[in-house]
Amino acid sequence: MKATRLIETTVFRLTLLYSVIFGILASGVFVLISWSNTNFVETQTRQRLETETSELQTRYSGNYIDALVAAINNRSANADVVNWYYLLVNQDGERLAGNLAQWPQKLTGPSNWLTFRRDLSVTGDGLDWDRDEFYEIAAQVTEWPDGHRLLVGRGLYEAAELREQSLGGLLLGSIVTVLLSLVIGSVLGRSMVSRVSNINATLADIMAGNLSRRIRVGRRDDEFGRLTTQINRMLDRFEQLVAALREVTSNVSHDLRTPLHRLRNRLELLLVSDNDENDRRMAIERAVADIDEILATFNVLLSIAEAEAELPPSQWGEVDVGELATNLAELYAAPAEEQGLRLECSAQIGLKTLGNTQLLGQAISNLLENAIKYTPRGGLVQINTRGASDGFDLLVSDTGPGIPESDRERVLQRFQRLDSARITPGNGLGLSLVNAVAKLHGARLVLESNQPGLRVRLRFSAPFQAS
Amino acid sequence: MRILVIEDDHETAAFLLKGLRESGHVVEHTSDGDQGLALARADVYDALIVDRMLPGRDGLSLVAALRTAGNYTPALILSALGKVDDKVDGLRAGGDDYLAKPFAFSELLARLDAIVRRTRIDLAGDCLKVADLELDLQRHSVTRAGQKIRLQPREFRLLEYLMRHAGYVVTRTMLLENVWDFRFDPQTNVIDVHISRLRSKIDKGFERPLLHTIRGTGYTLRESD
Repeated sequence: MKATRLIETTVFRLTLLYSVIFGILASGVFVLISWSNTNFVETQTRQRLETETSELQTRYSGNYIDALVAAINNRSANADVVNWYYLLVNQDGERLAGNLAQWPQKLTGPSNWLTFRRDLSVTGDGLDWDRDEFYEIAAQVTEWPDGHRLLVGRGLYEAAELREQSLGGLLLGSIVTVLLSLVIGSVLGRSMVSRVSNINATLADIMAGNLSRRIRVGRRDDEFGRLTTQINRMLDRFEQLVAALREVTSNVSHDLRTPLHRLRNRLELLLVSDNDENDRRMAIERAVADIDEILATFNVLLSIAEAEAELPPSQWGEVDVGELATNLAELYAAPAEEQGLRLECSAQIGLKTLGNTQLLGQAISNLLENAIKYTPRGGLVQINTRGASDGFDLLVSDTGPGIPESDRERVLQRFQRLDSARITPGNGLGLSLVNAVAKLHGARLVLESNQPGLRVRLRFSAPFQAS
Repeated sequence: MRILVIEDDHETAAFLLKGLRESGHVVEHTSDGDQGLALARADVYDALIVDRMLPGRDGLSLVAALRTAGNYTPALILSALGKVDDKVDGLRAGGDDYLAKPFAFSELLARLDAIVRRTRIDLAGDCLKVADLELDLQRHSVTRAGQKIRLQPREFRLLEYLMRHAGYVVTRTMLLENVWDFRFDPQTNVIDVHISRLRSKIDKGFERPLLHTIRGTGYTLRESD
C-alpha cells in the first residue's frame, strides 16, 4: 500500500487531528502547571529570605556590627549552606562580609525584593558553575539608618530546573503521542483501506460483467457489515432486473418475430405474384390485421411498463372495484354467452381502493377474457368480491382446465404461456399485466385451484369502505 | 370539410394530408405551434388536428388559448404518449378527442367525423331517427316501422351513440370509450358481440339492414349500403 493512499484515509487523518488537539491541550496544561509551580517556589523563597533576614537583623540590633559580620562569615564559610548569598557593606559601600564580590548594579523589583545575576558571587557554593552561571538570584535588602546595608539572597535555580524538567517531560510526551497516533492511525487506516478496497475490487469485477459476484461480509455486525449487506441486496435486485430484461428481450424476439416474419412474407409474396385486384386487396387487409396484432402486443407491453413505473398516486382517485367489476361483467356477459358459458357476478358495490380506474379495468378485463377463452362450453365464470378484516378480495373463477401448481409462478411473467395454451390466440402478456397492475395498487395476485378450474384472487388491502 | 393540421413531424403530416385530401377534405398545414394558433384564430375551420408536442407552443396550450378566446372549433389532439392519463389532460385542456400515435387512418377519420358531428347534433331534439328506426330519448323507447323493440339499458346507449353518428363510421375503441367509459384495449373483440346482439334486435326480420360492419375499422348505422 502506498503511503499517500494511507495518508488519504479518513481514519489516518482523524487520528492525526486528534494528536494535534491533544498536543495543544497538553501545552495548555503545562503552562498552567509551570505557572503555579513558579508561584509556589517564589512564595517559599520569599518566606525563607524574610526569616533569614530577620534572623540576621537581630544580630545587629545592639549596633554590634562585628556580631553581624561574624554571623555572615560563619554562614558563608559553612559548606552546608548552599544557594545562599550574603553581602554586608558599610556607608561607603565597602564590603564587610559575605560571599558576593560587590553590590549588584542592576536591582529590579520592589526595594526589599530584588533579583540579579549570580556572576557577582565570589565564593563557591557547591554548584556546577559552568552550567548555572547566569541563573537569577532573589534577594532581600536591609538598610540601617547608619548607612550599613545587608543583602540576603537565594538562587532561583530550583524553579528553573523544575521548569526545564516539565518542558522536557512535555516534549517527550508529545513526541510519544504523535508517534503513537501515527502508528495507530496507520494501522486503523490500513484496515479500513483493506476493507474498502475489498468492496471496490468486487464492485469493479461486477461492473466488468460478473454480475453474480457478491462482497464478502465479515463476521462483525458493524457499519461495514451492514453496508456490505445492503450493497449485496442491491446487487441481487439489479441481477433480478437484468435477468428479467434479458428474458423480455428474448421473449420479444420470439413472440414478435413470428408475426413480423409472417407479415414480411405476405408482403413479399404480394410483390412477386401478379394477383388480381381483389386478391391484392385481401392480402393488404391481412397484412394490416397482422400489424394490428403486433401493435396490440406493444400496447400491452407499454401498459405493463407504465404500471411497473409507478405513476404518482397524486393523480389517483377512489376506484369502486365492486362497481368496476359489475360493469365489466356486464360487458363480458354477452361474449361469454356466445362461447356457451355462464358469467355470474356477485360483486359488492362500494368496495373502494385508491387507484387508476383504467388500469384496474384493463386488469380485470384480462382476467375475464382469460377465463372466457380457456373455459370449455357449458362452463361457469364467476366474478365476485369477498370482504376481509384487512381489505377485500376480488375473485375471478372459472371451471376450465386451471393452471398446475408448479406453473403458477411462471405464468405471471411476461410472454409466458402454458404449452397447452399455445394453440389459442393471445400474446401471453395478460396475467403479467394483471400482476403489474396489482403490485402498483398494493394488491396481491394469487392463483388458486377452483376444483376444478382456476380461481384468481386479487387481495386489496386497507380499503376505504363507503360508509 | 376544411381542416387545419398542426403537426411538426413531416411523415405524419404527409400521411394526414394525403389521407384527408383523398377523403375529400380541404386541408391546410403548419408545423409551428404559434403559427397554428394564429391561423386557427384568423380563419374558420371545421376541425383542427393538433399534435401535442410542437415547436413554438405545445398543442395543449394552443387549444386552451383558443378556448379562452371563445373559439370552439372541434379539435383532435394527437400524441406519441399513449398513457391513459395524458388523454384526460388533453380533454381537460379543451380538446374534443385524443388519439395516441401510432393510429390507423380510419380511426382518425372516424373520430374526426364524430367530433365535428357532435358539435352539430347536440342541438338535436329528443327523438333520433334513421330511416324507419326511431329512438325516443325522453320515453327511453325504440321502434322500427312502428314496431316496438325492447333493449337493455346498455344496448340503448349503444344504439343512441350509433344513431347520433348515423352515416359515419364509429370504431370499436370509440364505442368502448363512449358507451362503456373504458379507455383500454380489450384483447378480444368484445364489442363485436354486443353489436351482433343489437343487430339481431333492430335488423332481424326487416328487409333492409341498417347496422353495417366496415371491415378493419368499425361500424356504421345508415339507410343504404
